[in-house]
Amino acid sequence: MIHETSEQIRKRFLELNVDIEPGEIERRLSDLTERFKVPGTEAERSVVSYFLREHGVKREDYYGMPEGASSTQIADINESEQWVNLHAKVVQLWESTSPAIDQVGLIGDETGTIKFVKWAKSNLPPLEEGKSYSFENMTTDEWEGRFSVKMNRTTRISELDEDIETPDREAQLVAIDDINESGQWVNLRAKVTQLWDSEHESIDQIGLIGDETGTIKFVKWAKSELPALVEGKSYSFENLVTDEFEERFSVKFNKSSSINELEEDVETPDMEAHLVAIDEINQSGQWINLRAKVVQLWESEHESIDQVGLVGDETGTIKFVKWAKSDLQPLEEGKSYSFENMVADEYDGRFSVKFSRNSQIEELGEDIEVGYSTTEFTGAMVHIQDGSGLIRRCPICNRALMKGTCLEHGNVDGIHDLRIKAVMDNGTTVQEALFNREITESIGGITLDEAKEMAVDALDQSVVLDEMKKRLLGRYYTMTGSILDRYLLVESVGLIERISDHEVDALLAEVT
Amino acid sequence: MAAFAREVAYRVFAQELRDTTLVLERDIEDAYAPQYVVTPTGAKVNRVFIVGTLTEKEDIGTDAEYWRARISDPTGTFFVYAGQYQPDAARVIADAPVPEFLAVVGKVGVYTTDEGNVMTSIRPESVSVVDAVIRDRWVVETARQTLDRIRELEDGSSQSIEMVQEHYSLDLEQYRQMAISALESMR
Repeated sequence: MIHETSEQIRKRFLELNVDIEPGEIERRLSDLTERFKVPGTEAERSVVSYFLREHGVKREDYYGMPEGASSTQIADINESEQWVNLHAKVVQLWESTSPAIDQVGLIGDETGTIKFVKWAKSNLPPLEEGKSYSFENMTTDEWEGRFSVKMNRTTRISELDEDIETPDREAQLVAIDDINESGQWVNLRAKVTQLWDSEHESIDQIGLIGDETGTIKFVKWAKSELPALVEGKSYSFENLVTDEFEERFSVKFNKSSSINELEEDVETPDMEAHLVAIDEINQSGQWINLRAKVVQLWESEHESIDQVGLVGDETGTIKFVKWAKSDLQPLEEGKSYSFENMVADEYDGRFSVKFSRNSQIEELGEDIEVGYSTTEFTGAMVHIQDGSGLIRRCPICNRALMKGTCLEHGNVDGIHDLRIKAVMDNGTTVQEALFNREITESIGGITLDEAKEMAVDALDQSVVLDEMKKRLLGRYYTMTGSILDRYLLVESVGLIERISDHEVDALLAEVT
Repeated sequence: MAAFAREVAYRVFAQELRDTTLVLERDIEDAYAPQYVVTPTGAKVNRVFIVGTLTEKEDIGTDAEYWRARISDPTGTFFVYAGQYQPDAARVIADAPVPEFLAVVGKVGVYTTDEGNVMTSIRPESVSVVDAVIRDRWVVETARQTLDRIRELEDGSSQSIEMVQEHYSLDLEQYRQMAISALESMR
């Protein structure tokens, strides 16, 4: 692969009368792709850019001018950034709320369908669903083998008299257990076994439906304007689309779906909750019973949530969510309960438990003892706050001095100290962390004495902070400590370890 | 607490940031209101943390230095622009060799071209030279968080579901595949 790319680059430069040693191109390419793991196309671009600069060749001369658009069929579109003409029918128009996009949807011809995007600034006439058009001068785009066409200012659109035929999609009646592919159109005969509370107004109803072979999650959008489903009733569902995540399938209703109530009752398999300890909760969708104490009640951020907080047992604590609609009794902080029929959920590797309408709560006479641990946080250091590095403290009250002055005791002869006030970020939460001198010395690799020397040499104590930033920012750390107000008072910290193949494989196994 | 809460630095792959075209209206009453974009998997982003390989850099400034850097991840390329208002970041880019692993914390910038295309870039707050261990960690972490966002859209728990549904096609499979290929590139 590298060899072919290298040959192409060499040939193109030769045409421009520049002779480059092939080994040099290959060395740069393999360094980029192997050591720096850059994708092939970007590596090629990087290497070409390097030689263009090295030999004073213009980018336009190397890459040449774009070619004209060619007439094609949708199934033949297999490359991005091509100019194409198509004869096609507008199969579906989707909604666009972006001011930049005028229309978006699917167009199709005899060979297939493709997504299109029509930019607002293209000033093109509106397309109508079901009508056929000739499209000239569109550009193709691609992601992971899926193509789309973009209509821009140079695109021409004219309506056709003929009707372009597009391939059908026909839904088949299937058993829930047979659903094994996403994007499939299916009909089902099933009973609504559970309705969950929708967390979002765009979702009208969400829950589980089941037939003799199993149950499956469904999502019914508010926009689909379908009749309301009733728990315990059986229906015939037509034109649902299957979807999949982590090997779990779901079905989604859309505008073309239909719902008819059945007279007969569709039988469904049982699901039974088991009593578990909190540290055994390791699977989302698991039905569980708990015996636990309400450790903390938090402020609910959403009106659909009645109560949210932490419950704990001997093995640990876990977040719980109680929906307003579930109509359950209020929980009190400090009291212990038996909880039945809760569902486990997972987010970012952290589990929570949710109450459903089928949940039961009973206060216990005993007091459950809760097992605590110190807080651990893993994340990237994304910022180091002012007041970090080499600082001076008031000899009387130990406060950090501001411009040589103690807020309490005025001008004092400060005592040097090292500390870091860092912002740690794991992509979903931010945690401020305070590193004392000992921890700062160990992760920064600079002792207090060395820091003082650096400041004396530079006649500026901010050199210490600059050096700390250079050494620490952008790195991942795992730290433990206790929380005080906004800060995690770091007791131990370590650089995060190299990713193991096992970790990558485990994550891949979850989703493929 | 809410008023001064720091924006989380989202983990987003280059391909997803490139595909991002939904720019939320800024609160004109509030000069300090952050600019948000919503990505195709529903991340409402003001700040990002990215790690990748510097593959190209160019000083495109006329009067003062203004660096444009291409930073590559397994899915595509981030564009990072740093000039006189980001002196520390500009210095690191100016001094870094090509190729080199860089970690960038920064704000997402957006502009719309004449054709109506929304282009995204990153205005760095800090740029650090890092190593392959950190880069690999970032790829796995970003894949995991991308897959989590997709799952939240699918199970309806994402806060952005309505915006994503209306603005993007909710074709989440391509982003699942993106995350999977990024992970596969690690083996």
